[in-house]
Amino acid sequence: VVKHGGVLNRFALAGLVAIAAIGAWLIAAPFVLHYQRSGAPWTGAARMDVVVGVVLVLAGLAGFFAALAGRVRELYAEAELRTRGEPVASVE
Amino acid sequence: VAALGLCAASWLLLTPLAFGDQGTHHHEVALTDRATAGGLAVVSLFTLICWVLTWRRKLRGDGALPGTSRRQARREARELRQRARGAETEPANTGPNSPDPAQVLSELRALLIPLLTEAPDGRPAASAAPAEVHHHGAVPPPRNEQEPFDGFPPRAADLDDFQHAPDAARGYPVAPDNYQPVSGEPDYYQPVVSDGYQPSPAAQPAPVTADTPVAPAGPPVRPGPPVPSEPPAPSGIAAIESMLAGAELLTVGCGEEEAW
Repeated sequence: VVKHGGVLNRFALAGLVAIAAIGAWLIAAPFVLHYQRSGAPWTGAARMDVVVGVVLVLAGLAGFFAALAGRVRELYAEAELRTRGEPVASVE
Repeated sequence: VAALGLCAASWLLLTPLAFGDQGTHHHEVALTDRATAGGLAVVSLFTLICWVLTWRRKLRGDGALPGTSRRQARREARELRQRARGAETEPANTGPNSPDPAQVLSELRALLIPLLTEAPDGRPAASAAPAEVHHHGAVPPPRNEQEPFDGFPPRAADLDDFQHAPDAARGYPVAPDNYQPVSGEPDYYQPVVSDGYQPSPAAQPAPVTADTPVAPAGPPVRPGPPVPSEPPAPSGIAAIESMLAGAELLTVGCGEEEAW
């Protein structure tokens, strides 16, 4: 259980990165698939894809860095407990 | 974030239907949105499950959640209920099969009557009636009054342990009768003065008297060469040095430091 906790945490972080990547794809999709010509007025579908993609990218990156910061803080707390010689109850 | 991803996926699925056919690439746009929405939904669901499991393990490790899952707790509760039900039904099942106590008593009485009617020496008892056995007759009556207690008598043999030899015979320094310590502290370097202790006669050499048998005289001893007199015994530091030299030789001979 303890060993699988770290793997789950990594999968969760990877999922956040994947969400951000999907958002990036949604931003780039109108231009990659050429249903939004450069210089032409923005269609509704292209505008909607870009907006949803930006939201997903921002949310995914924010979640990823927040989770990473929490994990780093936990590691620092565990290291401090180890230096004090107290027992450490780690998830990993 | 994962929940937001799920919402975005559902939105992407619904937008082609909401906006309808617009533009020339509407089929391409709809296909792209649906594929992206499907992938986003799968990834968001996977991420959500991973986060839920991670937080659940973390809370369980911190003690915020109980150690057993709800399903396991339900299973244990069901087993306990079944056990309690079985314990309740057990006496009811064994009731009809258990022997009747009155019948058992009557059979035991019938078996005991011939044994009680015979005396220990084989003669029949005066009455054939079953005698009542009071087991509580052997128990002494309770004593409510305190019995007198004179205490433990002293034993004279205990004092023998304290009758040792005087201190002078054991090598302890004994101060003379007129000794007065100057500084108030005991002086352990006072010479040993005997307080009249006499060792056992066996340890003393027998005095030579006229009645004492004398060993027969041997042949006359011829005067030999003059024997050199022994060197004077070392004293002071020389004596200590000789002792240390002997111990050093012993150490070298044994080859171990533990010989000291």
